[in-house]
Amino acid sequence: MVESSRKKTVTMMLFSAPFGSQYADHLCRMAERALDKGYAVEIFLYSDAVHAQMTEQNPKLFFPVGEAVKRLIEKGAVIMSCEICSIARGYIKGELRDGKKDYSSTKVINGLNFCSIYGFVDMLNRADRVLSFGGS
Amino acid sequence: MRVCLLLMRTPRSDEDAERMLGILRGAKDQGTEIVVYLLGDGVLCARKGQTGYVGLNLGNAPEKTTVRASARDLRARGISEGDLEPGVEVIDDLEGVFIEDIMERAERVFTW
Repeated sequence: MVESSRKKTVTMMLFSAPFGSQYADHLCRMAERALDKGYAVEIFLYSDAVHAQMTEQNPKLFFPVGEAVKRLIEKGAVIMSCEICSIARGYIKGELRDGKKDYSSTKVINGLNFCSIYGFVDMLNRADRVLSFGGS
Repeated sequence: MRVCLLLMRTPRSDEDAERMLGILRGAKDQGTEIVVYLLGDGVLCARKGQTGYVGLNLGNAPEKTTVRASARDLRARGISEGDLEPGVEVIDDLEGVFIEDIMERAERVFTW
């Protein structure tokens, strides 16, 4: 277990959609073990990986990515999703409302947040280690 | 230097596994300590008798190289320990072992 006052942070980025490959499964399992061992975990969903944020996923035979994402948030993981990728796929509108971007959505798991690719750069700056999952 | 390599791709459907395991050859003479973690389809690289860099490096791994494969993913693909190259370590909690290694011991980590 980690004992220092500042937890070490592992940042994970996911590029691939859930159920099309096992990358989302690998990331979720890896992230949960990191949290269990006392590390801070930050996750960035990019491109088709934003489908991991969808509510009411109901895979019959595959690894339950949606349930795993909820559990990771409950355990303290910071999960950020690419806002442009999410707007493109209809999860959020992202329009300015009262000076703030509208990230409200009934299609996204509670506790997950959005940022631009520049926000991801901030995540990289905070990371002690970076892992990437998926992509071609 | 201790370097961890996490491989999740098959040895033959693209060139990534070959590229990654080819790095082992370059590290061989530099004293680099390498730990290869095979997860998901990456465990297929541990099957014995393969050709190319996959076979060369897992079957005849350089000194200071450790190869660890996920027991769960081997079972899922019907691969028994007898099917593996000698020296491959089969790990029940590969994710947990990998996380501790990269956070506490390794100086570099690469994923494919």
